[in-house]
Amino acid sequence: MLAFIGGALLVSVLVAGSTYYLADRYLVSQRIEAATEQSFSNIRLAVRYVEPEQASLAELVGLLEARGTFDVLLTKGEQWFPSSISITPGSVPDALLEEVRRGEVAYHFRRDESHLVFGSPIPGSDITAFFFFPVHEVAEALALLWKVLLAVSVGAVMLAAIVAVRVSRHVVHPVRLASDAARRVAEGLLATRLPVAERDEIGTMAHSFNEMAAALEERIARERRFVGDVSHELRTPLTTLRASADYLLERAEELPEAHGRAVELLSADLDYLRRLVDDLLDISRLESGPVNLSLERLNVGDLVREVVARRSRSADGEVRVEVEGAGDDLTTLADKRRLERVVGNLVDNALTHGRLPVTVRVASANGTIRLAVEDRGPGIGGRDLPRIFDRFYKADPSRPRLDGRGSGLGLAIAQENARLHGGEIDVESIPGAGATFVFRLPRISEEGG
Amino acid sequence: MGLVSKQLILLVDDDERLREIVGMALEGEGYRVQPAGSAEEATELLEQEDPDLLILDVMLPGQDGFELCRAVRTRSPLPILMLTAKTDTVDVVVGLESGADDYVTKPFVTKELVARIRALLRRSRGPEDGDGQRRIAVGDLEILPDAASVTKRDEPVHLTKTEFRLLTTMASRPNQVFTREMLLSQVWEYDYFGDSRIVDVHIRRLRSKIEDDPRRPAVVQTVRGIGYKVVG
Repeated sequence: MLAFIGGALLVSVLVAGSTYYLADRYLVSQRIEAATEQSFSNIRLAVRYVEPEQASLAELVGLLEARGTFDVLLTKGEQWFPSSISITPGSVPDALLEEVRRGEVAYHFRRDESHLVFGSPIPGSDITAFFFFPVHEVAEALALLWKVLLAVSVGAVMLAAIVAVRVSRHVVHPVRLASDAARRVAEGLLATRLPVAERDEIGTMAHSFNEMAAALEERIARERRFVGDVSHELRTPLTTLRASADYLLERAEELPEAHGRAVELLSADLDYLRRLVDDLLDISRLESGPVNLSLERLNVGDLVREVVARRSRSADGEVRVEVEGAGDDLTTLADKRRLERVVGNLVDNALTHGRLPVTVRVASANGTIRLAVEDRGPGIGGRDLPRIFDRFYKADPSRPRLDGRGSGLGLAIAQENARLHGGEIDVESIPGAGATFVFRLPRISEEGG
Repeated sequence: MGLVSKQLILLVDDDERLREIVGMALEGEGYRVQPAGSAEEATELLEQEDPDLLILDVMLPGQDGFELCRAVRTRSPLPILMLTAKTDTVDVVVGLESGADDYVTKPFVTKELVARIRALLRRSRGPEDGDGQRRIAVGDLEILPDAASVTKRDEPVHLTKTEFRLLTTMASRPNQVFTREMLLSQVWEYDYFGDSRIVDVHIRRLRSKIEDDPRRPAVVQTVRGIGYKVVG
């Protein structure tokens, strides 16, 4: 926009300047031409007039002067015959006097530029004639022209400014909005839309953009739903498989040993499948957002203790819980089941992939509740560390999947649930010395801050 | 006579193989099982048979499980166990609001299903300590645990077995606060961590039946952050 106005200014200046210059030259040269013609005409008359000996120069001055709006000066030797008292010896530019005395025909502008002085000897006599042509009309005309050009230039620049602003608002701004929106969509904010204001090309573009974004959104939502739908479809067959396996397991003594073993294997994998289906459904729903959180006020310390107690029944109290801080510091607004899920997953991970002792530390500082689950297992290598929250990421691919109780999605789901609460899970680990998963949760106090 | 008649379970699910294997499993546990493939079929069977318990899948073709549940509830306190897909959202609550006593998510482990069935049948059978003439009076309510009846200002109140058990458990110890976990354990007999929404929904249902103003309950009160109690 500024470039446009600057350009307009430049053009204005150039146009005005050159117009003035050309006008100046034209007007001046016009004047000179006219003066020259008039002067020659005057000289011709004077030539005829001075032929008789007794010509009166005074009369000639009067005759010549009457022909137009110019003053006349005739000189003969030392005698001067001016047409008006305003003509003094100083009225004729020295250079002109010189030239005419030498016999040349010339013109000069008076030093104050008020007159053009034309000088010439009158052929066939010893008389020289000078004609004084006023040029102030030219000056006046030029001054007027200058004022007009200035006004027009200023007007043009202002107009340019207005046009620039309008174009900016109607074209540049929408285009910038569109490119911003495109960038946001590329970043994943598929709900971005452009406002459709006018029914012009910009409006059409906005409309097309919105259609494209909506189509993208729908496509992605459909694909996400697919995961959920598939998982859902698997439930009933899995139920039948599970019930059949349970039936056989119940009667395992009636089966030959190998058969019984086959049923055990079947059962274990069914278990894994069930967890996988559940987790797939969870992560699919987390991604298809928006997710409803059923919030309630709870104490994180208590929640952690409960979660650990439930697990410890099978792990024989192997997990230590250290809660620091008074009740209020650890009380916040959260979705209980999701938080339990996060804590449970971290503890399960520690028990499965780490080694005892496993310690859970809960503390509160500066409005953030910090929950750290530490184990003394083999730890997680630097290469694996940033990817540990990826879906199905296996830090140690050689480890059989049944060894863990998880589906491979646990950490990814935990991270999503953490983020839903405005929090985040990070991991620190020294290979060989264990790993610590830290869940930071912003605390929402009673006053909602 | 000595013949203990087996209890009859009406099993409603649209998947044939599931009906078959679950039927086999439950028969192995000593129940009689009558399968049905749709809500319509179930409705017919309900008129002919007198089941002790109804197991109902929520996703049925045609009339869905929730509607059938509601329809049954208008007529009888037949214990209803729902089979749901595990969802965090609506299904479970809608099912419970429709009148189910409890639910099991698919895929379930047979033991889990059997435990729920047993618990449900136990509380439906009636009180264990039947000394005949017990009565509990709370507000306008008169509870006769042995007769499994409740009256409000002498008008009978129709509660499901679960709702009745819930009320009686709390009313026998007026002013004692029961956490959801305690109620899950004592009423629903969950010996592991269950979903406390069952409790909340049943409390809501109970209030809508016994309170003058369910939104401002006078009998069954909420103790914020802890649980519920019956005011005596």
